[in-house]
Amino acid sequence: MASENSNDFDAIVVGSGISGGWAAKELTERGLKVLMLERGRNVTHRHDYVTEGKAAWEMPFAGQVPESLTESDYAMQNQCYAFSDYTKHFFVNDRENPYATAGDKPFTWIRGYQLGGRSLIWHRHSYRLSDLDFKANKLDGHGTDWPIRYKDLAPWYDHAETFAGISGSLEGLPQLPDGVFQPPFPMNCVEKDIKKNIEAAFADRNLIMGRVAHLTEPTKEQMALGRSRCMNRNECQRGCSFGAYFSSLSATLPAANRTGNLTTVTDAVVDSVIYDGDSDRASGVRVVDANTREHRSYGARLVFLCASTLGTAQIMLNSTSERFPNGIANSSGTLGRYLMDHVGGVGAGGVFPGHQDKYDAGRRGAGLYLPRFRNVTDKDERFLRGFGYQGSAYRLSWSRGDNTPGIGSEFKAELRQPGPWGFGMAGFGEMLPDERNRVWLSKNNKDSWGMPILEIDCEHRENELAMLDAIATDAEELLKAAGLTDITVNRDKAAPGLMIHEMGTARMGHDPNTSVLNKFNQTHDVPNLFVTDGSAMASSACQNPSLTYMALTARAAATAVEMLQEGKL
Amino acid sequence: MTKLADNSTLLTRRAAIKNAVALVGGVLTATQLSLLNEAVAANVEDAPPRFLNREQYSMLSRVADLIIPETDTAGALGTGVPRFIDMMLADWASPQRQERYIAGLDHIDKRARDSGASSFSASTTEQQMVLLRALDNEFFAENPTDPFFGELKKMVLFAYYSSEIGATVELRFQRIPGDYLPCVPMADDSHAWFWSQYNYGL
Repeated sequence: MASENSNDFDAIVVGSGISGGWAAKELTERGLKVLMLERGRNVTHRHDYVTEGKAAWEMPFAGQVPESLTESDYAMQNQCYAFSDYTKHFFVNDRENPYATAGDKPFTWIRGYQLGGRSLIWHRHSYRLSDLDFKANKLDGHGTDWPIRYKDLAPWYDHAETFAGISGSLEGLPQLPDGVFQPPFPMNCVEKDIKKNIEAAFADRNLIMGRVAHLTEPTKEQMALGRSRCMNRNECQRGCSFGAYFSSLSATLPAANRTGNLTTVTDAVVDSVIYDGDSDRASGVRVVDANTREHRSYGARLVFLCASTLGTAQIMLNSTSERFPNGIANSSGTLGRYLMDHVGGVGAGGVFPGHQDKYDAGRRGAGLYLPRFRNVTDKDERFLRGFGYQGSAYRLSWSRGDNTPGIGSEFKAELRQPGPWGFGMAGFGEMLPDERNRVWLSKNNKDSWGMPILEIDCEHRENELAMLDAIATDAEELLKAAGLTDITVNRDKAAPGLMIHEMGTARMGHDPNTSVLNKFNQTHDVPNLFVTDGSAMASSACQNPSLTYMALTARAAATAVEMLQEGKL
Repeated sequence: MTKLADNSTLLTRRAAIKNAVALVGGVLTATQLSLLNEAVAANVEDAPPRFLNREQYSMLSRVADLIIPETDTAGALGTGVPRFIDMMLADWASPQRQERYIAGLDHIDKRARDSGASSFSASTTEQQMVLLRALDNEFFAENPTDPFFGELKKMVLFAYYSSEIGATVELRFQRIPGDYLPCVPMADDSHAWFWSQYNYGL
């Protein structure tokens, strides 16, 4: 292992989630000796998917987490749709990992501290941003202009999709560029009817199959990494031994490991980046052992921070020096600011009359997507930017019995049959970058590894609230046009954080005075320090962001290696 | 897998699929086998209940039996629902929920006594059904005065359909579906699929 400030490694990658995995793959494949540091425990692909394939009756509480444990240890994580007794070992313990929020402003921080991070438990929807998104800040003046445009990232989206394996359909929509896709999952008959009805009623709206990181027709490269096609279990967040969905464990880390250039150290909490004033470079990182609490440091010529939006912000803010008293690479003072999430939770559902003689089989892990249609060609007077929806059609299950009067043999016979077809959809909307939405380090409270905890001050403001209102109203209108009955509209918005698309605390920009990162995710201030997770985002767009992190990371890694070889770092 | 398997072949298929899972993932562990054994043991009705007292347990068993009776398939009793609920109350439930169950069962008994019986358990099956139907209808009224019956019914349904017989004989379950078939013609007697419920909100 590396000793204090030695340069045993060419590069250090902090974090092993979607961004960290990509950084490790791209850097090792270019010949760099890479050290990956993960704060959580080791997880071995397949071996540690301890609940995979288990049926409800094979779980101690049929999959439900004991109530007192939920209350004491998982108050935040329990709010995530994917949290259950089948998956709780891939979520953090909230009691052991505290953070603070400002006043009465909730922020739900969903985390997975283990090798693979949240790539094990993500929702897998993968969409490109378009120039509608990259130009948005410049156009309406919120946030700082993205220093890149779609053409800069397009080849890296190709690269990311080809390797990760994204299934989806080619649609030719300008606001949601097509990519390199494996065959899409099929729509069921009700979804096809709803698509037809919506597209007939609205010229500007499309209902498409979701683009998801599931293999439907694996490539030779994917098969060589031990991955195979999706088996339609829809139990992804327990881990998938088929390697059918993209995760660091199924894809990027095996690719990095086969180069022979990757060293992985788990249970290593990165406390800070070491800044060397003489060379004006990051010389390595300080680490606290998660179990022994012993301190040590690692050195390298290049540092990639991929510790998640808030994790990276916390490390950078905690990396102080004479030159950077307020956090490394923070000469602009924007570090920790412009925190965004998507807005959502709001949507609508109903019953689709018809197709009572049809059923589907298999548990498709992908839903549908209704791409953004507001502020695409027309200008909406109520709010800036836009939103999309995810949804799906399914026959109601036995659980409708909870909401149906009845007991006894007739009731039982009724619930044996599938119920009517239901359809539900929920919005994902863009949040404006706002300086007031920010995080900082607590002056008084430290966690058990000695790190000052994060304090988060984030709220939905006028534009977000107007958009949430439109998401609900439009959902109802869409479902009426789709031919649904018994429509119910859910207007209960998710608290900031709960969409689990937090981003923006170390934003990219042209100007070193107003942004942390340049167009290559390189910090303006420290040339050999790169940040490629969600914190780099200058705006949130409304698409699920992980694919963009993959593309940004791959592009930054390629650039960093070039710079290193040219002696510029 | 081009058509839906019927229930008689499902159990054999399930055994084969279990082996497939074990080969692929090595996920069938000793712990899992011991869980299966515990599930079998939990069906032994003469073991004393762990949370409820004997009278409460007997009442719970009767209520569960009336909600999901034995028909051409096993009902709540044949699938160990009372044992499961008693175990959930002992090991899973919050103190608040434990209190609700004690008070709720007591309230059902009181309603039986209010209508002239000496207890719920001493009532005839007809009287018990009349009372439970009344409680069920009250739960679905505008402002239910006592929501406990709805909570109990939800738990009984969850326990029944999450049991092996409930999921694989009463309903159908595929451990590894393989394909997603989007639109399959359905016979009149097609059973619904069982899905594992995540954060169910019991």
